[in-house]
Amino acid sequence: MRLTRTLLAGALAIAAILPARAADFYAGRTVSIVIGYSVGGGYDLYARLLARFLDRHLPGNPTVLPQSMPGAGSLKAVMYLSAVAPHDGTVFGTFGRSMVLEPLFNGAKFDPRKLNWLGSITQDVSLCVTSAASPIKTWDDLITQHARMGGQAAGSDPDVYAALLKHLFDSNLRLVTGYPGNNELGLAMDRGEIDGFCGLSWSSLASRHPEWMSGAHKINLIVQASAGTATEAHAPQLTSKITDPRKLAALRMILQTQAIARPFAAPPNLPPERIAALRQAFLQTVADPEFLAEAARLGLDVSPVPSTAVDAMLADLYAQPPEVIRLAKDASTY
Amino acid sequence: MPRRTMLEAALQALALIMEPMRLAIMLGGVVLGLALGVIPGLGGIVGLALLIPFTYHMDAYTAFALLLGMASVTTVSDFIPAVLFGVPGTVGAAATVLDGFPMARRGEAARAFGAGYAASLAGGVFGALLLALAIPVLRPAVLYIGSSELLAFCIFGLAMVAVLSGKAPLRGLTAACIGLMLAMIGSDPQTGTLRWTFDGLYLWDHLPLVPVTLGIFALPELADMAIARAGIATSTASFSASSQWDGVRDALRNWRLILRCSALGAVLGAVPGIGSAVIDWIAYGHAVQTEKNPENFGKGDVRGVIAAESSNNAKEGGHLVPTIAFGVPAGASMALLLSAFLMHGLTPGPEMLTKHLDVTYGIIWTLTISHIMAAAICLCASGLFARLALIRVGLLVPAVLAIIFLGAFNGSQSWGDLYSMALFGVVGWMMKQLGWPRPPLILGFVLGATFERYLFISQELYGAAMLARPVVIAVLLAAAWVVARPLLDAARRIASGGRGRLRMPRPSANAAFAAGLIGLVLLALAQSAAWPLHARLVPLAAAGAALLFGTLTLLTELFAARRDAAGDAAHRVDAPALALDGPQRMRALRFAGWLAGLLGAMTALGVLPGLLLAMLLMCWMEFRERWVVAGGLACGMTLAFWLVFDRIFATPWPDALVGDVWPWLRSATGLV
Repeated sequence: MRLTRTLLAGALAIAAILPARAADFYAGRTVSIVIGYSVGGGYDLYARLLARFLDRHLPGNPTVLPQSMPGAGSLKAVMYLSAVAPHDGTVFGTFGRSMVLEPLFNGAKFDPRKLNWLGSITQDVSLCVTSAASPIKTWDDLITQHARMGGQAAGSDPDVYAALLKHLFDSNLRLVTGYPGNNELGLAMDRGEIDGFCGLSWSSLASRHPEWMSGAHKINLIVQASAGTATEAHAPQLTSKITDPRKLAALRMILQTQAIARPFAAPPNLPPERIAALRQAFLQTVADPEFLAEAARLGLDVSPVPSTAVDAMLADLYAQPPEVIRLAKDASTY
Repeated sequence: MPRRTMLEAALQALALIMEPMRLAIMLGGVVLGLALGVIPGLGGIVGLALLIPFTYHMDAYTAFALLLGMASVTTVSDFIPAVLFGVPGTVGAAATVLDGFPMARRGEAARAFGAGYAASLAGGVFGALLLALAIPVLRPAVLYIGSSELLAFCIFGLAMVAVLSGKAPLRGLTAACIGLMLAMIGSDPQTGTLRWTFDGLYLWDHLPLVPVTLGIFALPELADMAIARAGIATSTASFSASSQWDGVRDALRNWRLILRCSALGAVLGAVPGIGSAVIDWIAYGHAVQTEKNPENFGKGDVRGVIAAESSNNAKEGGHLVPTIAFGVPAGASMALLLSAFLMHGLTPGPEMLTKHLDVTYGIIWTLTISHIMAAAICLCASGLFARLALIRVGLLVPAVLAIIFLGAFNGSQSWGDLYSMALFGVVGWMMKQLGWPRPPLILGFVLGATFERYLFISQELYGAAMLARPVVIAVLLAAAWVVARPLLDAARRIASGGRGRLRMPRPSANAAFAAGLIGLVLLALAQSAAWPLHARLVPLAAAGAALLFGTLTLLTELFAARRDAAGDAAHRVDAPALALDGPQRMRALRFAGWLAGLLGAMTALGVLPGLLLAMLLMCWMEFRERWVVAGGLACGMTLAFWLVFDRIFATPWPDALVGDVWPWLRSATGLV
């Protein structure tokens, strides 16, 4: 009892001192947000938005600068954060949500559990859609018929979901891959080259393609994939279509990464007061009314995920038995 | 849509754009865009990244007046360093170097400027006009261009290799195939196989374009300047406004060429994946093929400048077509612009052609007016720029060398960019020296990835039926027409007695170069053995063709009787080579040594400190400038670099050795 009280008092004392020490450190400094993609994409947009409002919530009000570090589908940025970046709290960054699976699936040499996570700005719901003109209108069509589904590249969301449908649900779909991005996939669907594609996020559907929401071009929302949260998208959950427990576990591994749709993490081994300051500033920024107004204007979803949830998710991912990991890896390759 | 409402929307948009405040903001954008275009490696993309945050609180018209005013004129001013130093300001000005730079060396920089600005203006306005007229049919037109049509456009672009190889078709084909192979480097879209990445991260997302372009085209010109020890304008004809107007008159005289090249630029600009790095070459090839007296191209023919500049500026209007109508960006800068659209609550797509038609017209007016502003500013200021051509070579070479290294570094901001540029600089210089055409390499490199992408998609979707689509047929026929004439010419040459004379094999530098390329291709082939079939298909085809053409080149070099040198040089679509004597050979070697030293200094001391040291030493020791002059140049340039790249663009400098040894230096300066 006494010990607990002493510890508590000590913790309180430290908590009181920490912000002051962090303020001393950050005042007059520059904090860099490393972005694993080139300018203009979704990750970039979120990071730049965060950069604009973060400074006012960090003690000492440092200058916050976004920096592009594109390369290897953002693997370069993760590797940089894990091994190279200074671990003094002046650098953190963002990268692809599925990067956390790279060490498990492809032997990438970093450990996402050792990163100091700030959290994710939002979670995502990924949809499989088909065009109004396509004969593929329902889940059963997608499974039984030879749907032409578009893809971007091995490892990208549309390709991974098409592969999951093929391997875990025995779909007869055909993947037509190589389109440069979601915009081009949408155009190819409008044009009738492909029946549809997976990996369209619910938020970008609502903000970018109002013409697909109703009227003559209303698309079919076949199925949705998310980390488990209920959403307003009226489509069955992918997890509801599976019963085999091993397959379900493998599917969940992939879907979990949707919970960290816009992840931010700092390098390992940070001084505790600085990571505490960064985490607090992150949570305050994503709740800042001005930040939210700006995000709404840009059509960006905000549904924050705290660092503790990310750590828990990673612990779960890395505790999966090897055969589930192998199944998940094989099922996500078309 | 009724014509009257379209006209109303157009006039309303004009009235809004012409408000003094908006015009002033647009002017600010134009000035910034011109400045960014002049600096190699910087351009519309960094400008947009910089400006977009400032447009948060502007209305849509003002925001686009600023953003497009900036982005659309970088292709006007990128022409200035291309003419003066042989260094393209953006990747879209490489073809301008071919005729613009020789003009400057003849003392005709003013005339080249006049012709170039007039052609830019005409091209820019043409592109805007086409966009305005196309509005009613924009969406159906874009919907008509499917994956197989995109493939056909790529093939059309690649067909230009035939023209751009001049009278060295075998060398041109070899270069194009090697360009295709370079485009295959990186993660393959079909299977995710990492092709020719040498286990590093740098090449994973493909070899970046800027270091390759600067290496192939800019570095060789600088090397030749350092070797020949001659400044740019060998004749000291003073700059006069009247010769600038001569250039404008040249452009007016060639209005038909401007129209054709602008149309080519605007249409190809609308095709995603073609891009500004090849549009200028395609237009240039078109000019060489269709104009009279093509033998003058490459030696300072003003028509070469006109063709490249008009197409290059017309493409901006084309670029906007898929962006506005479907939200599909036709290039990297358009991807950024797309985010600006969304920020202002505008959803690219059908709404831009109905509900927000006035904004679309505002964009068109901005394109037009900003080009007029840019041309006027450049015409007035070019006397100032032209004086740069008189700077001593001892100051010019170190300074421009430093600028292009920084420009290349902007490619993906890693060490790899610096090494790639130096490597391709050496290759480019050898190609130039040995009479290997360089444009085919760039065509293959830029179009390769798009070609492979849409080849697989079309094959998967349509199979052979893709050849039955009308647009595909039309574009492929055009490509056949492009290839037919050089083929017939070559056949005629062979028939008219160029054949049959063999000689004993004799080693030559050219044969050695061909043999070296063949060796590299074989090594690359050996590496590809383990790839899955889909990842191997196109690289294998490209490598096979490279081997075939390379071997034929080698055999020709070894066994064919030597043609007279003059006949060989004539009609070659590339800049002439330098004749090297003894001391110049030494200088060439020393220049290579400086390059290696510069890379070493940057690796050890960091990019900026390394450049500072290298500029200082090169200026002082190699060019024998007084040390005060050398120090002033080195410090002044480095300070400017630091302000632009570190302060304004927040460049993340890569880790240097000194920073590893003394980490406090890294955290204190952020430079090492």
